[in-house]
Amino acid sequence: MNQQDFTRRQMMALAGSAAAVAGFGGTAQAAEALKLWTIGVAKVGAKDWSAMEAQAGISIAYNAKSARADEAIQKMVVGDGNSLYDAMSDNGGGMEDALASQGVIEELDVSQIPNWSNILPAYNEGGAAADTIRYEGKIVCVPYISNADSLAQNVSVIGEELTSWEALFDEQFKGRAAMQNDFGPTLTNTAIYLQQSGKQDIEDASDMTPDEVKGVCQFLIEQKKKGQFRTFWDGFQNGVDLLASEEVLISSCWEPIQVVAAKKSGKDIRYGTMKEGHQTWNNMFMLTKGGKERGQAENFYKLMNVYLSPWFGARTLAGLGFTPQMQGVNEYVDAHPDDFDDAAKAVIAERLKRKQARIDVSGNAWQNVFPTHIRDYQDWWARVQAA
Amino acid sequence: MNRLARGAFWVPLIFMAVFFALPLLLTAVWSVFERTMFWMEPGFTLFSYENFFTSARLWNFLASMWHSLISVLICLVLGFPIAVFVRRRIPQVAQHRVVLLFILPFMVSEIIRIFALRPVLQRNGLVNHTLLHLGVISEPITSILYTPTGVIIGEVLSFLPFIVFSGFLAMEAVPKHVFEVCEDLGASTVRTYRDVILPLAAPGIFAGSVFIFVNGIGVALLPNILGGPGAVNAGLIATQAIVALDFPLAMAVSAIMISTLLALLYIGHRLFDLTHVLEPAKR
Amino acid sequence: MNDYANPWSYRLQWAYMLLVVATLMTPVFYVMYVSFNENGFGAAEYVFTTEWYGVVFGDKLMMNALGWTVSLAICTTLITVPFAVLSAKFYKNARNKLPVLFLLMLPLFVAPDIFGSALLVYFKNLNFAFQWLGDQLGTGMFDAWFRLGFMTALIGLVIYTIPYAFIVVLITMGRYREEQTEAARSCGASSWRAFWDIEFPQIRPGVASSCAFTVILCFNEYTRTSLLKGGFDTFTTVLVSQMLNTGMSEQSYAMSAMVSYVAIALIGGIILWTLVRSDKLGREARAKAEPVAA
Repeated sequence: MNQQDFTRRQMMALAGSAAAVAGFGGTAQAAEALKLWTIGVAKVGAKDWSAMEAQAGISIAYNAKSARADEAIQKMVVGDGNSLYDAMSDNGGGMEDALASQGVIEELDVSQIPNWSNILPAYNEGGAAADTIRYEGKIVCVPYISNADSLAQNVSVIGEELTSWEALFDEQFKGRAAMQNDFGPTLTNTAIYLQQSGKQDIEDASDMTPDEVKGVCQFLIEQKKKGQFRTFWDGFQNGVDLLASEEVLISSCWEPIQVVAAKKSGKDIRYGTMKEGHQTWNNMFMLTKGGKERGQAENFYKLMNVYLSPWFGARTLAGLGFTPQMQGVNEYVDAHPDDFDDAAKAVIAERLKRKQARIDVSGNAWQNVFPTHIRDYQDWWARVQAA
Repeated sequence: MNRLARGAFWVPLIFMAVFFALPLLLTAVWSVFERTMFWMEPGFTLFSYENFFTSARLWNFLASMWHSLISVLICLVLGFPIAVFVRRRIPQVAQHRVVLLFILPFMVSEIIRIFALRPVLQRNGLVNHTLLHLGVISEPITSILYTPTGVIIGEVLSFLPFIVFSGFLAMEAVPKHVFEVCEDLGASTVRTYRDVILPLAAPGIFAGSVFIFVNGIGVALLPNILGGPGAVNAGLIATQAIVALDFPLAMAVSAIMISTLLALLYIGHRLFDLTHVLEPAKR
Repeated sequence: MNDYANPWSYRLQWAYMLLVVATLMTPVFYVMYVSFNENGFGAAEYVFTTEWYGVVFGDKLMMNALGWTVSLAICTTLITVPFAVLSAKFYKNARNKLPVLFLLMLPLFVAPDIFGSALLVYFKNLNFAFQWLGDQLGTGMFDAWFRLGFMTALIGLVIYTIPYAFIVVLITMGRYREEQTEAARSCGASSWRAFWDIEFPQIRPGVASSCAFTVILCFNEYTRTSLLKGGFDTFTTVLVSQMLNTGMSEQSYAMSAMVSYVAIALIGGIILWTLVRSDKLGREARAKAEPVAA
């Protein structure tokens, strides 16, 4: 007996009594729905997945996924992920290699995705971006969003736009600065700063040696001890709240956090371009082994075609500020004045310009959720937390 | 038939033994297993304990114990008099209903309750806004959020009702006429508390205190949302270990927590006989 | 010291208690306040609206999660409350009370993250063991027994809620006088009849409160459920996943506020019901005690 069937049957049996209590109707999904394990920001067009479903012409059974890489891998490799999900998104930074090496995701046939021809050229030109979607030369992922993470700053209060990570460790912002409570982005961004400003010798900010990790963490411990950081934020809402309430003036965070914080507070909160560089990443979708076995490949490709269409790219850029993974977004926006008024167009143009500026910085380093010396990362991070 | 009926009484106990006591005991076994890439395999290594006791995790653990202890004391001072008051001054029939009032805060999920403390405590939050407006302070107080103080405030607000509950149960062990005797003898409030109420209610107070203490160390949300940069307690160390797929370490933290708890309960039982907590029910 | 001699001290103590309750309730009120804001949590501008209450029922994600929560709450109550009644009866008659008390009350003292982690690893191991057993016997019937899912989340919630239900039932049972059962038995009633016809009606308020308690606890539990639930989402896990990824939606606040309205009504109902009942019983007792007027 399959777990999903089992629980669904139980659910159906209870639906009658539950309906009486909570006043809701049937909740069972159509049998052929694509069981999609991803995060809420992967959808555009509506508060739920209806717009995405309509575009792809399939039905989607959405499962909310928490934002941790290790947990997701564990669920797929030793857990029951393959029986629960037909497709999933990653957390960026080399997760697909771990999953593909364990045989839990499938190689993709991109000829089934008409919009594959729209994909950003970088994905076909070799190099770091191209590597992110491949395992041993075979394509296993479809990218849907990407970004170069930077420093959100409250320009209304600061009075000028900052262009260096230096500010994050500057006396001026003592007690009004925040970083993410996650060793990955925090150590990488700090490493980029130390490396580019010549304060520390670091070979590769994405994959540091134990000694380099130690150096970066000792720097952070020193900063923490002198009271530089108000807190380390955890999760989207937490990050937005810190900036919107002016609890902190600068925060190393995701772009959607800056977008929403600016909207909520009505203040001029900007996402700067750091001269030292940024942590760059992309998020991708993968077809699980179980999904292919259940015959969901076709539905998966239909959905991926939507993710590579400018329809999706324009909306994710306008709404949350993520970088589209396909060409032709500007043309699409120009061709659909009903959906994108002049104000929205201006926002899109401004964001694309800033993104290009960030991507062009030479010190950028790719996100890596599995650095070679991950144990050292974890143990040193525990010391930063304890300091 | 009768034997079957009698067997039914054992079902809950067997259920608890198999799905609760056994897993807790097994944490000690799993904690010495070898860590593998995604899981663990049978073996014997003290690496997880070494990792815990020689890293910064130990200091995190001890610091969270200290903060938790402070929370317990504050809860006792703020909450126990309420239990005494309810038992002593409110008519018998109404007592349980009054205690039910303290269940009302649990109507909203803990995570939302803790998060909603931020707009209250933050720089431009309710407390600072009010105090600034009244002219009590001229600069916003920033030490009440993202600091250990913030965590303690969160712990007190989350766990205070439990000291009222356990204190109330404990006070049921104190017969009402005891108060009258004290009053007739003209004992002062302090003496009444010290010599009469506290000794009689000790088991209940102890149980409530242990509850708050272990939850203060164990509820990961509190330091995560209200603590400062990287505030951590045992619960968070364990969840972080699970997230990092270090199951033996998570199990070692659990085993340490459970041993601490059992030691506390054992001491408490030797001192007060904890079965007395439910004494009135035994009558 | 007499209450009538010093009414101010009495009033002051009442005021203090209500102040504490009000302070503890602040987050609940805050959620209700936010749920009427068009701009949601933390917005600089407050615009009153009831819109979110309108759209919440059209939110498929929320309704689906609510369905799971309600299912879990119902199943947990159906197991926990009978367990609590059985355990309370067992406890009253047990000669060695300590192990029983220990097993039933200990879940209160084990922190949620620790308990969730231990049970998670336990279920994973059980699952491996049963799969192995199935392979040996050439059957797949054990494969799903302890795979993370509804069943494992249910077990976690039952263990979590048992101490609360047990205390409430035990307290009400404490007021029941065993002599009544003995009387019924000597009149020839079976032990079941004696329980159902004589004892149960008297402990009914306790059973009702423990049901309410269990449902409320299930609605708001997060840590254990999120670790043990497997592939579906409950109301609280949706909230947390929103908090981590997109921020809690306005519908979530509306939903939370609604849950608290219902829960407050439930508790209020119980308070009123026991009030009316005890009043009625009191009057009956007085009526019976008074001599019939000639």
